Amino acid sequence: MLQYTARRLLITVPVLWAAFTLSFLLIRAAPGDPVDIMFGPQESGGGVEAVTKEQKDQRRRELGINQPLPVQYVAWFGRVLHGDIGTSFKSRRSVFVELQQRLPATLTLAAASFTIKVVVVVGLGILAAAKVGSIWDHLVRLFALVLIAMPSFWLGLLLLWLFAVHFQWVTVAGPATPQRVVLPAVTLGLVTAPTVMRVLRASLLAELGRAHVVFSRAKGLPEHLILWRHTLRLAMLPAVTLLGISLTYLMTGSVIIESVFSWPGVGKYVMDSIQARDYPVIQGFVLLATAITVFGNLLVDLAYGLLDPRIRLGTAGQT
Amino acid sequence: MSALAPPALASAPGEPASGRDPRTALEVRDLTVAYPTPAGTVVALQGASFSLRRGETLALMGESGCGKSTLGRALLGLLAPPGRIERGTITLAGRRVERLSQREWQPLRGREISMLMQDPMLALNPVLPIGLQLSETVRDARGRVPPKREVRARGMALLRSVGFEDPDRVWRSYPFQLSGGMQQRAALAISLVNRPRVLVADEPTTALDVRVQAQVLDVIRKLQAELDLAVVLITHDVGVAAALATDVAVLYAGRLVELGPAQQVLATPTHPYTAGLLACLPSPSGGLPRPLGGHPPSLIEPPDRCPFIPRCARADATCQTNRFPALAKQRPGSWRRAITPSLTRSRRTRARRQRRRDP
Repeated sequence: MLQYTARRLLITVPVLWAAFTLSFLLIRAAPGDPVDIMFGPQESGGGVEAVTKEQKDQRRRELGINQPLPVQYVAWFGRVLHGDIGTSFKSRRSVFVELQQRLPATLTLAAASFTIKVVVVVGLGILAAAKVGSIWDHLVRLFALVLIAMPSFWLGLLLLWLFAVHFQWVTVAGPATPQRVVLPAVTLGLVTAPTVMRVLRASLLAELGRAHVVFSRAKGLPEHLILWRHTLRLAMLPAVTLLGISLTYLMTGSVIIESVFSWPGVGKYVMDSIQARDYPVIQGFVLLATAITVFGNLLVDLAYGLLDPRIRLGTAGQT
Repeated sequence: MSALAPPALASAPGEPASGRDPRTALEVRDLTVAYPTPAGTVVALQGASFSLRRGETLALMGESGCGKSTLGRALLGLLAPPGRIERGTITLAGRRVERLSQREWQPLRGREISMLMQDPMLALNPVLPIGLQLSETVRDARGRVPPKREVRARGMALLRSVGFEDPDRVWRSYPFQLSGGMQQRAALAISLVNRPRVLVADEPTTALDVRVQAQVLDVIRKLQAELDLAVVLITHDVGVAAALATDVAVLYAGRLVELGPAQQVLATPTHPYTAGLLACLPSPSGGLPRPLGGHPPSLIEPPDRCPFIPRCARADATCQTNRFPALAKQRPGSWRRAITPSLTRSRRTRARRQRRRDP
């Protein structure tokens, strides 16, 4: 198991390199020049002091983006290897510091929404599977359908209107306080829960249909033990995979929700940086997101071993 | 549960009175099981009757799909949906059980009746160690979980009596760390740890290596003697039936076509289907096996006639016109075997069939 973990961590290195290279190329292939965006287009300099082409070129030299791509690539790569992921074009502050400042807000949101998500997934998934065909099952499936059909920003706006405007229980803007995290976390948790919940319901039903469940009933085991001890563990495997993947999404893909709730997290910052073609920030973010993804998948794999002894003991398929 | 108290326990008029024998562990009367499907109602078991005393073994024989496993599952209230008991009674240790809910069944399973399944690899939970699957089953006489130490002692004792010399290691093992024969013996220990009266063994050796089949059968026989078990042995293997059974019931297309003491049925079968089934075996005298031609009939809306007629060489006009008789055990230990309809067509059976036809 230890060796396995070490091997998985080693694989992280080429994955990070590939992500770095791809993001380096893609962001430069995108139309628009950071300096142009920073100062506005050359021609429209009519009103205030127009920035001359010389000043812009000067700036490009400072940022190092006047050089040929291979030269830029090697320079950047060398810096990353030394642990320096760059300086923001816009704020001229270290990308690391910029991300570090905003990460706690995003992490808080991710943790809160992940908790809500797991509770919804496990609670409703088990309810629907254990009482399959009942009114509860149908209600849960209807609930899931409604949530899947609902865009996250719309649900967010609805909740905002209801709880911030109508009841005035929460404030809309301001710093990232625990009270303010509730609405975005509920929104994010609810819109991402249904798919995983349906998967859990289906896999739990499959597990409940196995021969060992019949044998457990035949030996007189009560239903609650059959559910919690005998079937939930293996039924969790596909759900855990999806939860692990979504962990990444919750950390990095909450851009829309952060905008709707003006939550001062990484997502909103990266969105702004993409619009400004702030290359170092985008690349730094891609590196962070990749690391989180790889780490999330590693957690999923380790959870597999925890849930299924055949994987842990490395003897799957043996008789 | 209280709905099934004394009034329901009394035998219906005309029922054979074998329920009075205190050694009777299981009594089945006119049991009919059906699976409603979109294509029609599949009658998987039709009017089966037999009774079984402690220490006896009834082998249920027949081809795949003849209703053997349906009967076995019905005995534990574990019919796969949408299967349901349409008619008839099951009396388990003096108690009528055919209408019990799953909740009412739960305390009886494992303690009055238990089951051994065909493939132990599938019957045991792959992600839980044997010790846990065994210990979670243990209950005291009142259905409570005994103290941990007692649970372990009882579990270990049973692992030893199913032939494990190192029960400690088996206790800690996961199913995939044991061989098929070991898995089946562990499953047997689990199903017998609460000392039930009846064991339904559904093809207990079919999934096993030939070398370990005899070993598993030996262990079943040994524990049957120790626990005074009544065993319902579902098998299509004549050798297994001959080795273990005191009585043999032959099922064909959901009907009991023959029922009697094992030696008698296996040596001198009276129903042509039984004869055909036995002829499928290679004989030691060098005779080649003769396969049965044709296929079993559809079980949707089965006719009242003998279901074997389309494949039977001996079918005649009487078979075509007469209803197939219900077999009945008159006295414990002596079965009346009848294939001639006129011998056993009882007024009761006729009345029931009549009712069913015109509801």
